[in-house]
Amino acid sequence: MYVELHARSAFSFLEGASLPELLMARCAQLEMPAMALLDRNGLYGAPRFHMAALRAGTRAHIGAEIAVCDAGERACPPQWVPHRIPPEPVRWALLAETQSGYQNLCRLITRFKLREPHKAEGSARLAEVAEFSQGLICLTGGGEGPLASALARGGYNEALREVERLVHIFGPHNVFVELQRHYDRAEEHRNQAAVAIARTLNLPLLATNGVHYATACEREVLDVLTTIRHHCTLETAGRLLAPNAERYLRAPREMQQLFRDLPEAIANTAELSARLTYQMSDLGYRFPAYPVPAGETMQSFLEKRTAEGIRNRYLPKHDAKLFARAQQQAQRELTLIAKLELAGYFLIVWDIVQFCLREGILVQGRGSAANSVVCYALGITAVDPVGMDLLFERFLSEERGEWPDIDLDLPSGPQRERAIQYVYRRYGELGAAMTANVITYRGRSAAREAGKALGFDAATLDRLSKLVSAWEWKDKDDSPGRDVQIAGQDAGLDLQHPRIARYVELCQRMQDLPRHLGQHSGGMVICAGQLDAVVPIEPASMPGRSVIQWDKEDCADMKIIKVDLLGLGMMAALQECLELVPAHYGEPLDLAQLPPNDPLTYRALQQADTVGMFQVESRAQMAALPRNHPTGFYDLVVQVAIIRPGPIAGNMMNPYMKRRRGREPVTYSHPLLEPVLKRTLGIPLFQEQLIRMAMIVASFTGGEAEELRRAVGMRRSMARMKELEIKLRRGMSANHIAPAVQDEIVQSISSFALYGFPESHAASFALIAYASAYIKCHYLAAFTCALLNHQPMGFYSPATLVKDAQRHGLRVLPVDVCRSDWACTLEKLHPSECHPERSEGPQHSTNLHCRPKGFSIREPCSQSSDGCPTFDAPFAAKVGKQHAGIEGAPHLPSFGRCGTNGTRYGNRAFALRLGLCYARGLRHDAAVALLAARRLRSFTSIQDLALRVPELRKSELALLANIGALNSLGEAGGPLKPSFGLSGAIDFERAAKPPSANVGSGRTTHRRDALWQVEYAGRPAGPLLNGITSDQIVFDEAAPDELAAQESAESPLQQMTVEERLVADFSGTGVTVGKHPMAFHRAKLKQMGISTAGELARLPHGRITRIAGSVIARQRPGTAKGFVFLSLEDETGIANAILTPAVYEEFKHAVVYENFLLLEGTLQNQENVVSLKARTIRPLGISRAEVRSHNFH
Amino acid sequence: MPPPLYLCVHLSDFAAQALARAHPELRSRALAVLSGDPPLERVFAINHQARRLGLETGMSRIHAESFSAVLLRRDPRQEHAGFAELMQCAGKFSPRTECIASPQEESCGATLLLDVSGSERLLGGPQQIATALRQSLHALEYEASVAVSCNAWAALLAARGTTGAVALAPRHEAETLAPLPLSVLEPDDEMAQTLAAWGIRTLGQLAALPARPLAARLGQSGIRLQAQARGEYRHLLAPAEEPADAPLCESIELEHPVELLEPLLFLLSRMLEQITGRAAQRSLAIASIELCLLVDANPPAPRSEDRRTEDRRTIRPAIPERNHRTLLKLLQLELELHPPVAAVVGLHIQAHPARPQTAQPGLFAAQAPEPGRLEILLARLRKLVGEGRAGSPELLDNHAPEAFRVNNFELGVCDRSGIVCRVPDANPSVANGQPMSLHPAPALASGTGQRTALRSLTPVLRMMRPPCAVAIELRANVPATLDYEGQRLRLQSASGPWRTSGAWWTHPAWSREEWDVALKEQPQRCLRLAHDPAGGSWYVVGIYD
Repeated sequence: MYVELHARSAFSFLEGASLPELLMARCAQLEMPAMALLDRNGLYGAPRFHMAALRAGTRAHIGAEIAVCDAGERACPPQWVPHRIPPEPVRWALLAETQSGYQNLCRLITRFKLREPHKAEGSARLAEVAEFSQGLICLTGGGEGPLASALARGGYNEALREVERLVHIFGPHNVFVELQRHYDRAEEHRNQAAVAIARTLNLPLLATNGVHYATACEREVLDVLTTIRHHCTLETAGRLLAPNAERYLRAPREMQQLFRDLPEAIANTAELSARLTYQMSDLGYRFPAYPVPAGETMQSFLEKRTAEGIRNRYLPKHDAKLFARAQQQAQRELTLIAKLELAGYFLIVWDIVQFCLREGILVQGRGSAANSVVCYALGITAVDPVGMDLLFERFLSEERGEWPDIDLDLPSGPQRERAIQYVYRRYGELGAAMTANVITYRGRSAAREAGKALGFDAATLDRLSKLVSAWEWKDKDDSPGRDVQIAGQDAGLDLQHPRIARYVELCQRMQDLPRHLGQHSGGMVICAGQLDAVVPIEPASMPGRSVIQWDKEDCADMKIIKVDLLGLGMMAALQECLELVPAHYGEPLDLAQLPPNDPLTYRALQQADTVGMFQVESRAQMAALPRNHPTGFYDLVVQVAIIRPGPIAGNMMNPYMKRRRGREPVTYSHPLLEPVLKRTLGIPLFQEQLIRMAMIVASFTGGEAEELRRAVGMRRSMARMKELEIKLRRGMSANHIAPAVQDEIVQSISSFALYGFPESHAASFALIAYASAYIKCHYLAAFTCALLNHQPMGFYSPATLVKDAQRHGLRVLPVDVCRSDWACTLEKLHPSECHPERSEGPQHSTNLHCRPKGFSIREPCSQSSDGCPTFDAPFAAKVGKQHAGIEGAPHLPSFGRCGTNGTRYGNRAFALRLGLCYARGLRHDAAVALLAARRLRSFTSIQDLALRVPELRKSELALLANIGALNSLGEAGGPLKPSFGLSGAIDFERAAKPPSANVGSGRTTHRRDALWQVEYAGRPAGPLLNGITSDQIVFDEAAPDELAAQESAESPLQQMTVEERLVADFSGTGVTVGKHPMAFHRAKLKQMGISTAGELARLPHGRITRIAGSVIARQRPGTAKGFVFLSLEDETGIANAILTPAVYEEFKHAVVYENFLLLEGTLQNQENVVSLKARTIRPLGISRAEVRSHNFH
Repeated sequence: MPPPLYLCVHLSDFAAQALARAHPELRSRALAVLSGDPPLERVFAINHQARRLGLETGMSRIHAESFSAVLLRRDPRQEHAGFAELMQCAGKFSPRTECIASPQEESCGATLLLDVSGSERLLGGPQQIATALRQSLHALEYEASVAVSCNAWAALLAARGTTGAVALAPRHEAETLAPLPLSVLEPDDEMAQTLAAWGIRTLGQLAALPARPLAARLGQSGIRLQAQARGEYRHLLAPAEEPADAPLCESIELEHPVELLEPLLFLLSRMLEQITGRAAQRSLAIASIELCLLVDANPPAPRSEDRRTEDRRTIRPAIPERNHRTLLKLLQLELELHPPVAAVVGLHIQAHPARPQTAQPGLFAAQAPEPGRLEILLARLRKLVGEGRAGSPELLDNHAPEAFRVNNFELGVCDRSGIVCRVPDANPSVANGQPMSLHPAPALASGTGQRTALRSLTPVLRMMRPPCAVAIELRANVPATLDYEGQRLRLQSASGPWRTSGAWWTHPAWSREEWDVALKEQPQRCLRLAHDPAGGSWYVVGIYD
């Protein structure tokens, strides 16, 4: 029997070519009972390897190759042989024999990894290896091991001494002299010495194959990875490449044949494997205990906090029944929590939430945690699960044997970082860390790297990687290789050429191989005692962060609890609104007290006027909103959940919409399902409904139903799914449900094979969606300002957000060095510039809440007679009313798409000033220096600016001049007031101002004038002029100095044309605050028969129509059968277009690469949803402005 | 004094034009010239047909291959020859010619500036001169743009920015230049960026800027560019002169074709004597000789009336040589090694002079062979063993068998201690790029299964080039007998296989298995066998001493 005890996987990052699962699958295929994985300096692949072994019924031994810096350098070819192999520390192959050995290995890796100031390989010291040697078995290694190194260094005697040192550290029973045979003369020479040393020291021999890949053909992939690692090409790599393809996983019989002269080396593998008793099922992981006051247990403490929370949450609702039900549910949950010993987990999350509340950081739980009343009572979530009748089993069940998953949404940016740092501080450097995110080779990266290895030039690589399709949708014949093939064809490559054919093949084989380790967006792992004994920790690229070597899937497999502290851009925007609204509008804003059922807000939602709003702004959401016609909060919950792959692919959206509009009767597959599906009009939309359906119709337990959900969810297993379906049908038969109905139910459950939302999660998101919609409708300036300050986020680019805000009447001012801050800000306009305000804003509660830091909407506090939750006074609309459509809704004031009439304060009181952060290429440090200098005194001229802010480079000054940010410099009494308005001002140039007014003043008249002056001011001053202030540099017009006179004269440069300004705006800031590029060509476009986006709604269904605009979004969703969706923007709004796969293929180049398009096709105008089914597409060369499109791949 | 008159000739994509001349069949097709080392070749120059197809200079080879254009590698010889013709043609119009851009400067175009002042009586008016020169070049199958002006740089800019033959009216240069694009000034990237940001796109716009403020912003280079744009830039013509190291040429046209080497050597001896004499007059020696034999081709080259074709040879002595006999001997050996393909009807020798070696060997320095004699010896060796088989071996960074190349054996730079022979670090145990310090290897698949003890002897391997094909009989996949030197030999033991493979990304890839075998028969010998798994052939590739 032979066991392979020295193998590395692709998780040795560019030093191995097979995934751990593949290695283990091959091991099982070769009928090997066990196998060891020793990746380089880490246990990155160990969980996958372990799980694969469990599935395959084999055993996984865990170890690692550890670089030891003071044990010499690995053996290299002699100096007289030309090679580029860099010197590296020798690597010791260590195997975990026991749990303590595993823990020591984790600690050893953590120790040297964390010693590195930045993310780096690192290496251990001899003393550290000795310190953590207990429970570890040491192999003498192959060509990179200590024995080979010592032999190369000092011959046999040195090697003998080296092995003696290993014996001294690990003990004579824990050192094995390793032999590898790859049909290499030099290696065989080493083997001879190794055998002699083993005989001399009476050490056991151990045969291994030093596996680098599962099968011989993967040597090619390894060679490519080697070139990536060493930044060279296959042609120039030389001896860096493998000399042959022998490092594959050999069959036991093959190894026995290979080592038939040394049978004990083979026999010892089985013996050592038997000694390696440690399995990763026993990690020794414990979640940390929460420190509770004396006399309390964690459970009792949790119960008290829950009881308090229940009282605080439910008593104000004045609903005794609801309160009683909440208490009852809390008791049930607490019993289960006690049984599963999870009290500490809940308390720790509660602790984080408490910290956020104390610090004024918005926080809200999302996901299935919102199904728990305990979470609700602890303030972790904001949705009342009892009031909304949410299903607890979706969150936690006894049968599942899994840890619960609580995700917290925090404002992205520094606020979230503070919460993360709090966890680090609280649990220590070795007690908490982020989960990793394994970055793998995908289509584009594989195409690029494989091309580099084969020696393609940079231009070809760029072209290829751009052409590799990155759409979400894939044809059934699509494979990564086919993508590259198509890209290659488009790039003009000859696919028949052997090298190109090889390239395509390599791209395919590199897919999914790990490239490097990143950091998960927010998953934190916390451990009692020391996390470094459970999994190695290493520094992340980001300062102050550390990361474990496993990703979130690995953590779930290893049953490690993760708390997700996720950054949500919209939360950050809302947080900023909380400051902007009181500061500028003069009235407080409390997210916990937003008026529910605000007519303006719902009107905007019904009209799909939702650009910038959370979760309801996408093209698909906009298309569904008029049909859904939301009138209450629950409609919004449905709206958030319905545009998901699950409901769309399951064809649930259309039936729901028809029923919603009363065009189809509400029916149920079976009367038993009515209570479950009533709220969603008989259509299952949420995961909880699936679980409940299984529980009701087939008498599944909560755990079984959850298992069914998971089986049809993301990680489905066909075999298990079949078993569960049989069980489901058996249960339904027992409940006397007819076979036809059974089919229908099974069909609707199977529709969840694609991703769907849990109801609780949708409710949490709907809260944020409502808040964002409300703030946009009432405080547009603040909302837009906050959105622009937290880009990138959402569906649209800043340019589109600005244009949308402008169409709603908001004035947006350009970047201006005299006025702009680093971030975007609000400026109150002079009364003369303001249009008369409307005072008849919506009457809503201004009642302040004493809990401003938490984030929740005013909760539903009662339940209607039909079992659905209703909301207290402001949330008066009951579900029944909601379902009745607009009839039950109050009369709503008009809120036009392009108007501002309904906004409370009239947005024209405020203008939004773009911040310096929008000047692309301006460094933050330079901007800070500029702001500091400006605070002291206004800048009088560009010369003054350049002298007082030496941090500004000439290129930055030129950038600012190019985008018009210097236009107001030198204006007496402050910056010039720009000429606003959507109609007149092309730009904020002072074209109207006579140039003579600026002569001698150092003022600028237009952008080119500023550029002219920048070139003068930004030139390097000689030693004589260094330190001279602007006051000392005065051009005296009276002086007969010609240069001074000429400098004082107007700029000889011509003003930028409109097109030049547009190009400068988009390249310099990504946005333009002037007219939309399309507006400048409207007359001509009209002659061409092109309709504006605003006109489309008035055109009849079925008319052949032409539309044109800048492409702002391209989508090819996975669920849309190859259809492509384009969003085109013009000065009147956004028009949507649908492209069939055939049309896309025909006009692919224009669709993918052109910024401005003209589309002709049939207009589809039904139920207030307007789109164009395109027939022909052509580029519209009206501007060279680089309008950015948000492409969803 | 009459005003000066300058003429500029500009040939864009000269590299492509020169190649097209050498390949007349390609003149009507799109042609792109590539430069750079494979696989990183880029388009260096294109003709106008290729430009119409969408090709651009700077494209990669792979990209260029996607167009239906002929791709040829750059041919410096053709370019230099073509440029010489160009110079010759220009010389007919003026002896004062400055070379602005040429193939020597790695430029894809060629530009000459001629001082034609005072030649109006001889050649006609400015327009006539320009037209005449353009027609002369056209006769040589070159497309050129020619401009004449009283200002040298104005002529240059006009030639770059226009096509055909243009004469700029005196004192109106600026008007003619005004509409030309800024790119004809060839400003550096930073300057081009600044001017683009200012909206300056033509020479006229640049010329119109106020001078002193412009100088305050762009410095001297700004002033220069503006003066150029205004046609006011004073360019001091620097006529090309023959440099001290200009090649020395001798030519002979023979009345009758010569087929034998001896009379040819007689002629060569005379020519070499002349050349070495002229070199000696300049205190120089000969660094290299290019011999061009005009041979009587039969049949004549296509589309050519001339039956003669060129057969070129180059000789580079290890050190610059003054002795014409040594040079003659080298030429003799070269011609013996590669005889002319047909009877010789003309000889042309171009010799490149260089400073002679002056260092004196040190008193105690090791005796080195006399360089001239050494060179002759090496030439003899090459003649004996073949080209590329004599010299200094250099190992390559490669796992491939025989991964080495033979470089020319060169004498090192002289220092105070005398002539140092630069020989690569030669390890006596290395002959094929692999370490030969082979301790007796264990028999991986040993016939006897007996493991030999560790010894410290270092065997030496003699490689056999070419390897000797043999027949092998295998037992249990291990060589057992060997048919070698007409005998069937039994093998006592066999170690191996030692496997190497590589270049899998090329076609064909290589792979090899090697065995070290010991013969049973007396005298006992150890051999290295190689096996090509793809072809199935066996070879003896070396013998262990």
